[in-house]
Amino acid sequence: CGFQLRGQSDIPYSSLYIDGNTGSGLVINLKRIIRAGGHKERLAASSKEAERTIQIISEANNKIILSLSGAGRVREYQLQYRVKYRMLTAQAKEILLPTEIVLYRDMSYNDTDILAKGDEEQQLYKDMQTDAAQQILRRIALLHGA
Amino acid sequence: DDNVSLHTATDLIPVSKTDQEGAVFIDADQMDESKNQQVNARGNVELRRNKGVLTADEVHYQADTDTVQATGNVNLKQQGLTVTGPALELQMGKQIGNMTQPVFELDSAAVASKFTNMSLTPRGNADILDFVGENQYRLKNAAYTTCPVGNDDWYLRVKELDIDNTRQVGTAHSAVLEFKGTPILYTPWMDFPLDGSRRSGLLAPTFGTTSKSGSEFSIPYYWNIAPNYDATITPRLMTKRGTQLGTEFRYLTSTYRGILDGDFLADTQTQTNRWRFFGAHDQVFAPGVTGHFVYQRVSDNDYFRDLSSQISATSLTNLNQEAVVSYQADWWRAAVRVQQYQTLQDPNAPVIPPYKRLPQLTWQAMTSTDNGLDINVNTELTRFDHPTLITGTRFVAYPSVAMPLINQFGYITPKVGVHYTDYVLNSTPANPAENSSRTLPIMSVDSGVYFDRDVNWFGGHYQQSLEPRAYYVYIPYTDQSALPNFDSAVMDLNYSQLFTENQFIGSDRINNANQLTLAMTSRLLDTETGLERIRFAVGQRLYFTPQKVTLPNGVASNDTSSDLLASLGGQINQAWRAEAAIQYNTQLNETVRNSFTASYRPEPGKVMNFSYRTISGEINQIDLSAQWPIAPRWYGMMRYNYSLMDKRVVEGLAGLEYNGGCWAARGVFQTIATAANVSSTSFFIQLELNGLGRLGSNPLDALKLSVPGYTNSNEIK
Amino acid sequence: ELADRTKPVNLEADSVTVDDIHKTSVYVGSVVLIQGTMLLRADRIEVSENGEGFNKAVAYGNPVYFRQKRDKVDEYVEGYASRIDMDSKSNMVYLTGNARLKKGEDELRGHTMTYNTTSEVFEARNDPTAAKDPNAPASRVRAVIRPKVKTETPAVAQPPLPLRSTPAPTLVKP
Repeated sequence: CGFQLRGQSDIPYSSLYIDGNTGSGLVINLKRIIRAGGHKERLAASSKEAERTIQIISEANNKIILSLSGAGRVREYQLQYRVKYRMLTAQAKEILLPTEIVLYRDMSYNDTDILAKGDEEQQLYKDMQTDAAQQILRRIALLHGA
Repeated sequence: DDNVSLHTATDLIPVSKTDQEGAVFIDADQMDESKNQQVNARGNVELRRNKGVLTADEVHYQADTDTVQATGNVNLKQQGLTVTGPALELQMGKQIGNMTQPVFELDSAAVASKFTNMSLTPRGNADILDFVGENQYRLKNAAYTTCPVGNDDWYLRVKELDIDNTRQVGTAHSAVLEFKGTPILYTPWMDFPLDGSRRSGLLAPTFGTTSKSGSEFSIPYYWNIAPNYDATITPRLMTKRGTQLGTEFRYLTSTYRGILDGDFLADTQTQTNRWRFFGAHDQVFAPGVTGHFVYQRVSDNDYFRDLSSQISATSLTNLNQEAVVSYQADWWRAAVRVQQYQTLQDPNAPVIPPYKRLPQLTWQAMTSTDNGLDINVNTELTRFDHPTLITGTRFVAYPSVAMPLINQFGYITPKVGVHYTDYVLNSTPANPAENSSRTLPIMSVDSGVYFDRDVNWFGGHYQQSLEPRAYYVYIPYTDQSALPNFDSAVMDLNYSQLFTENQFIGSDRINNANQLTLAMTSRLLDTETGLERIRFAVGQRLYFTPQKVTLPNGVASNDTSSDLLASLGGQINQAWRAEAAIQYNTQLNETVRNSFTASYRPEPGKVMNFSYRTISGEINQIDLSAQWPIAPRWYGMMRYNYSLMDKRVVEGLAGLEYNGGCWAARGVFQTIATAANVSSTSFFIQLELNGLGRLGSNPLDALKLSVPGYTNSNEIK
Repeated sequence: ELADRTKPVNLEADSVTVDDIHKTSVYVGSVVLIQGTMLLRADRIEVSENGEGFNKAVAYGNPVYFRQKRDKVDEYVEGYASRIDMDSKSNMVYLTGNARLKKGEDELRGHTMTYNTTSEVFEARNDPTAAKDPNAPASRVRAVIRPKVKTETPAVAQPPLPLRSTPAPTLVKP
């Protein structure tokens, strides 16, 4: 049915620099995927040395009430993770216009397990950050190939 | 002779200091010079200077004082301000001078584009315009509006209006707001943004009615203590409850910022004093060392249900009281936290208050070695306290090592770790317990392969991926029924949980596992933009040994597989987004949970959202919300969130909005369920003057929360 | 300067025709007239005298160049025009036909101009006839003036207010 093994790796560039605040889960994830499999050299130390720079412009977490129980207690939250990024050349010329990835995860909620639900929330945000990191790299690989 | 080669000077010649004053270019029909070096020009004179252009019938320019006097339909354009009037006197360099009967307009192009696409043409007139320094103007007896010329729907009549074009702020002293000719508000002091930014100092009276507190009227007073301290004091009169005094104090410096917010009410209906306090403080103590402190407390359980009409408040049960100091190094992070909650009980739905963590110390590390090993360590020491349940201290350490083997078409990631937990419990007659510990090896192998193919669909060409994934976890069984449960619960079954080792979130229960998760994801990627259009995913976990570990009074199940998860959806095109997800119990052949959501947003101001959600036995709700233009300048908003199971409207909202070009008026009626078979209805009216601020109670937050995708009518191009 | 009036006048030209009866003489061909610090250079100058010596001169050129040092100031005034008339009795200089006057760093252009050499005051006017002729370019008087603010210390701009920003929205409160 036409499917073949993916021919081209997600990191089409010899070296990439991630420009974003180091504490962010997304930046840590991007660096981990780029460096994975022992390819430490693919992660440049600065934007000058890198063939391309992925710049994380903004990240935002948002939590909205999705459904209330009959008693007006929150039963479901929707977690939203929004990241805006662009890509620059070594000479800081923008070659990928700022784009925004918006991801949603629904999460049930009840007040007695508030501690557990707090951890679950963090885990879902981490999962969205991993998803966003893969989407960013997947998109760059696709555009590089195109 | 060497020929002189011409080459373009690429950099701008800097304006030298002497040029700072800049030469004055005068253009006129007739010009002469009187004795004291004053040039007099007549006949549609035009005077040009690097800061501005002045045109008038007659202009006198005094070179040694750099002063210009102009008379006869004078028009001055400089840095974002255009002003016309009969006469002007101005020291152009120092920008000191005045103008009579000025009619002014601020450059609206710069205004509209900067912050919102709200159409703003800030303009007005006055008796006197004083130039009081670079970009600083003071208008006496001024009238100010942002309505386009020819539309005089509203004016702010101000005794003294200061315009600061550098900070883009207008400050009005003793102002009367006139709407369609009738004065509707007087305020002794007010500042407002000239560039359309959200911040507005206009704190105007709000009026509305709610079923719980009757009609209410509040008038905030804004106290601008210092550039980075301000306070807002808001008396709020409620017919059914008396007067509530609300105060909010905000402070901001380069290293810390915070907010202190409180209300007090001698409630005539309940004959009790009711109060609320909210404090939040964030601080950067040193590079990498940050602190976050939150303290909330209310006087009684029904505080929000009686006194607030926002779902985000009325649905609160646990008020967080927390202090965290954390240090972030490059590969590890440490934090000390103290946390407890005030639990607001609803008599018809009692809730067990959560444990207090007094304190909790955490140390997490994540690094990878040169030969490609990912090392991850999570440690935590927490002392749990509770009024009734068993208390004690728990230490958790979970180091793990993973070796991801990755190439372009797939990956295999074996991981092994040891989860060690130790409990030191305070045994009491009510809760007999003795210390215990638990050590469990956790082994997992995650693997996935990527297949791609090009596909043409509806005229666009896409790349479709097929991503099978298999994830095996082995954790031996150990009896944990004697262990307390401080912070564990069963996680929702979703794609993220399918690929986690432990189905219990928290550290008190580690499920025994000999299980294999199989999943398949297929994405449709738009090859031009590379964006993911549609995603299909299906997954299920197979248990080779039955799940024996449970929460206290949980029931072990010998299911041989988890529910099946399937979902299909995405951003189909620019306007349509839809997603269907189902969780199907293959043992009992019934759907446990499903949801179908769709939203249609062709352009700002046109939004339709639909969702149908069920969780068997808990939730069965239909949710419709929309904002749609119903007539030229008229927008209708609605939300209908009906619980089929409880046979009641969980949230209903109906709103109308009229856009008058440079102002918008909105009315919103809302009813929300605040407790078991109790709901509160409220009605808001609000007048928003473009760029000046909002008058009346604020349905905007309610609209933005209840109608996802809602856009203010004055922000729609 | 004022003293120029007492200075002798000397004239050079390619040729000159003198008419004693009307006391006029016409100099033609790269004519230069010098009196003290005042200089006039033109293609043709008609000079007429009365009893006490030179009092009127009409110069034609493409353009005529006029220069004179200002009184007690080390600065020159220069003028250009298609025709310059000088009247020593009234100390007036009349420049007509795209006239241009430079005084120190200031510069003035226009159709007709007058300059009083004693009061050092000028007056310029556009071509009134041009206003009626629609397709003639608008005739305007243009001046470029350098402010001569005395060198007192420039007014120190009052320090701008530190920018006030509201706390970041992350501080969510119910």
